Amino acid sequence: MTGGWQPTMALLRAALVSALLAVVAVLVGRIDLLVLATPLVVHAVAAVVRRPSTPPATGSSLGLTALREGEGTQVRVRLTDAAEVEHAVVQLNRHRWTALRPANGVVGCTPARRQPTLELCVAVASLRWGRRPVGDGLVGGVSSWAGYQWGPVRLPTRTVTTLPLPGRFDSRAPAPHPIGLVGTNPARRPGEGSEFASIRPWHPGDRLRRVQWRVSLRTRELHVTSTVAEEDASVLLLVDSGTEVGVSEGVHGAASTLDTAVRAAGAVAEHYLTRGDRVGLRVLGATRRNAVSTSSGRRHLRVVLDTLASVVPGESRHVDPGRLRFRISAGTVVIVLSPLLSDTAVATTTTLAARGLDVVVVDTLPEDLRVGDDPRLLLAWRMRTLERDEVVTRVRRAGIPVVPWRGPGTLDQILVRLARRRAAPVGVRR
Amino acid sequence: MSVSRDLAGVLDRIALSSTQQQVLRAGVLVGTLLLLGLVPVGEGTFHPVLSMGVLVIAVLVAALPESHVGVALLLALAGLWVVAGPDRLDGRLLVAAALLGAIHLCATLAAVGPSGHTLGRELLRLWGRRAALCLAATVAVWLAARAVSLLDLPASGTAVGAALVLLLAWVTFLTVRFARPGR
Repeated sequence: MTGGWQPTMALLRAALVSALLAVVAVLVGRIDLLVLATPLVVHAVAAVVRRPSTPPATGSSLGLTALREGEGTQVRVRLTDAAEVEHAVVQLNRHRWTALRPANGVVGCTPARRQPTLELCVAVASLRWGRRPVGDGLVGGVSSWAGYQWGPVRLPTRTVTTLPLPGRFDSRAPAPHPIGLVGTNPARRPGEGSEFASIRPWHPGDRLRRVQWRVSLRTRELHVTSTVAEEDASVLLLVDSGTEVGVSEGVHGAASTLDTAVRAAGAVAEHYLTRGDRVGLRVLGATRRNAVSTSSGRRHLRVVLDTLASVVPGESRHVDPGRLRFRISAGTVVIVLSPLLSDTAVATTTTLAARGLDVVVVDTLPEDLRVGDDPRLLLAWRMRTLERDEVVTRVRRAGIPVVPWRGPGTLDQILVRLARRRAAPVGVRR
Repeated sequence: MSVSRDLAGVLDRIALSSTQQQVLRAGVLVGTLLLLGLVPVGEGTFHPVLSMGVLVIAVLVAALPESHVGVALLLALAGLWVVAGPDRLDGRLLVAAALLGAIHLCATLAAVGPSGHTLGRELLRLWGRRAALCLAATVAVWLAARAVSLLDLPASGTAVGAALVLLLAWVTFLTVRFARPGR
């Protein structure tokens, strides 16, 4: 690896062989050797005459630093002081879960005229959420007549943040316990909203447009239509990153449990945040950037997706659930996205439920998980599955609903059931 | 652009090479074979051992076009021509010089860029013109050499050598004047 111009092997070969042939021709008196040497002499002389003087300077940049899964950008390699470069080549290294175009990452450029600046572009796509290294590789060039070569010069590694492509998610069920001031979820108290509550006699302070004229004429008394107040809900997403099962094949292939969890978390966050609700995030098993406080808005969605993109599988498996501090306000719905294979996730889930919070577990373990063909591996996985079934049963017995991730409507029934449970009268022992 | 010394790396690069690079590598082999076949034609003699050695070197050059082995190949071919080739300035010499230049050109282009790189048409066209220039210069030297031999000068090695060196200098001067990049 060098930053200056060096003679190529072709120039050395042409110069050396032609010189030797000329010397032998003169010494031995073989004129035919001079004829043999002529093409090499021409090449050597032409290359030496066009000897470059200034080595180019390199710089690389990314078209976009943040992408969604499956989206692409360009790695631009820029050569300045490149007037003496006849042909430049860049070769980018290939990494897992990234795709290059051309597939081998090699792109060449031959400027038609002497250009002081050359730009070589390689298209790169990220196939899985996370922080993906791109742009590292080598760049080099040759001078006129391939006489001198510059480089290869190493290109620095850039990082492209790949935001998870949210899975399809939609929920028509209202939040079971809206606690905010404004929003779209019908609250339990009457107030200004669009959801019909009842028709009641007029009270001072009621708006004129609320008057229900038909009922008022029939009863000879002013009646108004009352509505239920609409409030926003608070949702905490708990992503279990301590365990990852399955092989991730990127956005177009099979998904691991963590893929499902991250994409589902992104989908749920996007759904609730675009509705005006507040969403928080906690990553179980992450050592840094493991929490996003509850907030709302489009900008907050980007923060949540950015944090999800920084999830590292199995970064920290030894999390003490007793030491975890969740700053959760009452009424928050906690959605745990986990394959329920780690004790930490199970203990955290049951702890939060014991605090009286509405906890829903979204099971991210796919039903058609492939673990290989080894019979011993299959047996071990079968035993692990039996243990997990027992854990799931225990969690359900604790009153925590467990639902598999199915995309749209995954949480509908559960949220409706939780809302009914909240609205039901609570028996008090006297 | 860099010479990999381990066998696995060499095999990897051969496997990853583009079709164009494979054609250029094959060009080295084909050119060598043609030149080896040209040596024993007419008054030349066939040296199986030397020819086999040259062929082995050619295979190495085809596998490693950017390596030093290319020097050995050209020297071996020229040496074989001196030892076994006809000492005559006929058309075969011109063909041999063109083949030697073609082998060198194929090895040069095959070494440009990493494995899998494909040279663009513009660059190939440019190199085509350069090859024609080299061939034209070779024909000029060949004609000059034939003219000198027809003069039937007295056997003075020094005079002939000096004359040829002067001729070579003249060719070099012409090359410097006319061989400009991009033409």
